[in-house]
Amino acid sequence: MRVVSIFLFCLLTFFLVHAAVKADRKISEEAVIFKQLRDGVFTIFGEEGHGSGFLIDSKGLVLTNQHVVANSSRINVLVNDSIKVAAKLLKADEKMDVAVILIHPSIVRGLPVLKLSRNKDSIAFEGEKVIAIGSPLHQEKILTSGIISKVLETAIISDVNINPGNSGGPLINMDGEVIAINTFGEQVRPGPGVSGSILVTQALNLIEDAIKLSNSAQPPEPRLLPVMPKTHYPLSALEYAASIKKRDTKPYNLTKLVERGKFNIFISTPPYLYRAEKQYELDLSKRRRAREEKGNVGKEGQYNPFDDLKNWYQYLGGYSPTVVVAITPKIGETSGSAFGNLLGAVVLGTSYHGSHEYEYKGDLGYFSLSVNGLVSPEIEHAMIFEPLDFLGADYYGVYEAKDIARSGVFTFPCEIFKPINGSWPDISLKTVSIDKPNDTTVVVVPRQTIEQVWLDFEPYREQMRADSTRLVAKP
Amino acid sequence: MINTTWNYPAISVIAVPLLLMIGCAASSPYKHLEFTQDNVSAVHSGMTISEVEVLFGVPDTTYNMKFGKNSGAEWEGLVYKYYGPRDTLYVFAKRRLANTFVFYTAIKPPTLNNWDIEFTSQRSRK
Repeated sequence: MRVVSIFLFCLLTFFLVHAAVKADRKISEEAVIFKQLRDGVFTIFGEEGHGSGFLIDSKGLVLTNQHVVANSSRINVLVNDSIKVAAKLLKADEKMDVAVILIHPSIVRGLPVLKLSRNKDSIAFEGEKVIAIGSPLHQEKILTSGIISKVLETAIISDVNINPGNSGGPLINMDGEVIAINTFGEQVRPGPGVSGSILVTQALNLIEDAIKLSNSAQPPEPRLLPVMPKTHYPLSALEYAASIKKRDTKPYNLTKLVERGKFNIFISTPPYLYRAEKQYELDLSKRRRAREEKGNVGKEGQYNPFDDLKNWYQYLGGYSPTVVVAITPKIGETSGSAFGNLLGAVVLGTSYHGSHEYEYKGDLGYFSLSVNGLVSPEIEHAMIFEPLDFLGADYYGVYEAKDIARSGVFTFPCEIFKPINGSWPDISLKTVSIDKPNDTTVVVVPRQTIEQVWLDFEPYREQMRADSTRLVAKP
Repeated sequence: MINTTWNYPAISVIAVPLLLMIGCAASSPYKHLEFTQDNVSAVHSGMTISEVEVLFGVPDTTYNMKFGKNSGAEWEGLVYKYYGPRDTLYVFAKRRLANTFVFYTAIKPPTLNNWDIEFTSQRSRK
C-alpha cells in the first residue's frame, strides 16, 4: 500500500512539474502577430545590397526604404525560400527614404497584406511594445521585439534590435498594425544602440500616389529567378582544398583574356575562395611552423589556420555552393599624367621627379553572363561604389588618386557550368563601362576555367547525392 | 688531361628504371581490371564488404559519410572508392573516373546499399 502511495505521489509530482513547464512556455503575443504577418514580409535585393519590405496591397505593392533600391536598375523580391521575382519601382522619395515597388499580383495571392496605422495623433506611445520583422545580416524573416523609447515628429526611436538588412521592414504594434518603417540605427560600442523607424503616416500620400500609378503600370513578369541554395558546401571539402600546397589560380583569373580591357574579372568557387582567404594566414605561419617543428611542439600547441570551419558557420552565410563573378575596374595612370611624365623624363632625364595621377579605367554599368547564347539570371547581384583615394611619394615622384567607380559581384548557381550530353557549355561574360555605353566587351570563358569550376563542386555533388540516398539494403 | 671515357654504369643507373617504368605503364593502364561487365552485373544490394572485395579487390580509398539527410531517415555509411582511368570529358582539369560502393554500417556485417559505376574494364585478370 505504501509503495503504491509513493508511486502515485511521484506520478502526481511529475504531471504538476510538467504542466508548470508547459505553462511557462506559452506563446507570446509577439509570436502570434509574427506568425500571422511574416509571410507578408519579403527580402528586397537592390544593386547595392539587400533590405526588407512588406506587402501593402494585394495588387503586389511592396513598401520599403528608398536606400534599399537606390541606384538599382534591377530590383528583385524574395517572397519566401523558393520564390524570387523581379520588381519595378513605382514611386520613391529620396529625402523621406521611402519607396513603393511592384511585383506581379499572382505571386502575392493568399499572402497577408499588412495594415498601416493611419492614426496621426496617437500612432504610438513611449513604453509601448512593438515587434520588427525583417531579413538582417544572413537571416530571413526573423522576429525582434522591444519597446518604443521615444516618439519624434517623423520617426520612432526604440530598443528593437535592428541590423543591416532590416531596412524597409515593418515596425508593428500589438494590434498588428504597421506604425513605422525600420530605417536607421545608432550604435556606439560597447552598447546595444538604438533603432530608428520612420513613421508610416509620413508615407501615406506617397502610397496613395503609388496605388494610382499601379492601376496603369504593367507589373514585371512573374518568372521565377534562381534563389540561394539552402544547402552549403561541405566543410570537409573546404579543408581539403585549403590543405593543397599549390593551387593553380590561372583558370579563375580572366583579366588577361581582354587586351586593354577596363576590368579585372575573377571567377571564384567555395574551395578557391577559402584557399585564397587562407593564403595570408598560411604565408604568416611559415616561420611559426618551422619553429614548431624545431621545438617538437605537439598538435595542441600548433598554430592551425583552418580552425574556423565550424558547423554553425552556415548560419553566418557560410560557403554557398555558388559561382561568384567579381568585376573590378582596372587602375591606371591618367593619359595626361602619363604624357606629361614621359615628356619630363625625355627633357630632364633621370633627374625628373614627376607627379603621377591615377584613375579607374572603367566604371561598371552593365554585366551579364550567357550560357549557350542565353543570358543567365543571377542569384544575387551587387554593384558597389568603390572609392580610389591614395597619396604617396618615393624617389621617382608623387603618386595620387581621387576617383570613385562601380565594381560588381554576381552570384550564379553552379549548375550553369554543368556539361550536357558530354559537352561543356559555352559561357561568355559581357561588360559595359558607363563612359562607353556602346562599347561592349565580351569575354569567352575558356574551357579550362569551365572544367575547373565544375570539378570544384564535385564534393558538393557527392554530398547532395548522399543526402538524397535512401536506405534500401536492410538485411 | 681530359677524361673522354664513356661512363657505362652511370647510363645504366638512369636507363634501367626508365625502361622499367615504361614497361609497367604499358602493361597496366590502370589498377582495377576487375570491373568487367560480368563482375559489375553481379553486384546487388545486400552484398557484404568481403563479397565486394572478392569481385573488385581492395579499394583505393574508404571513408565514412552520412546519407539520407533529405530522404527523412539519416544513416551512416562506409564508402568504398575505386579509381579508374582519366575522365576524358576533362582535357585541362584532372579527374579520374571512380566506381563507388556504399555500405550500411549500422548492421553487422555491413551490407551494400547503393553503388555508382563510372567505368568498366575491357579485360579481366581471371
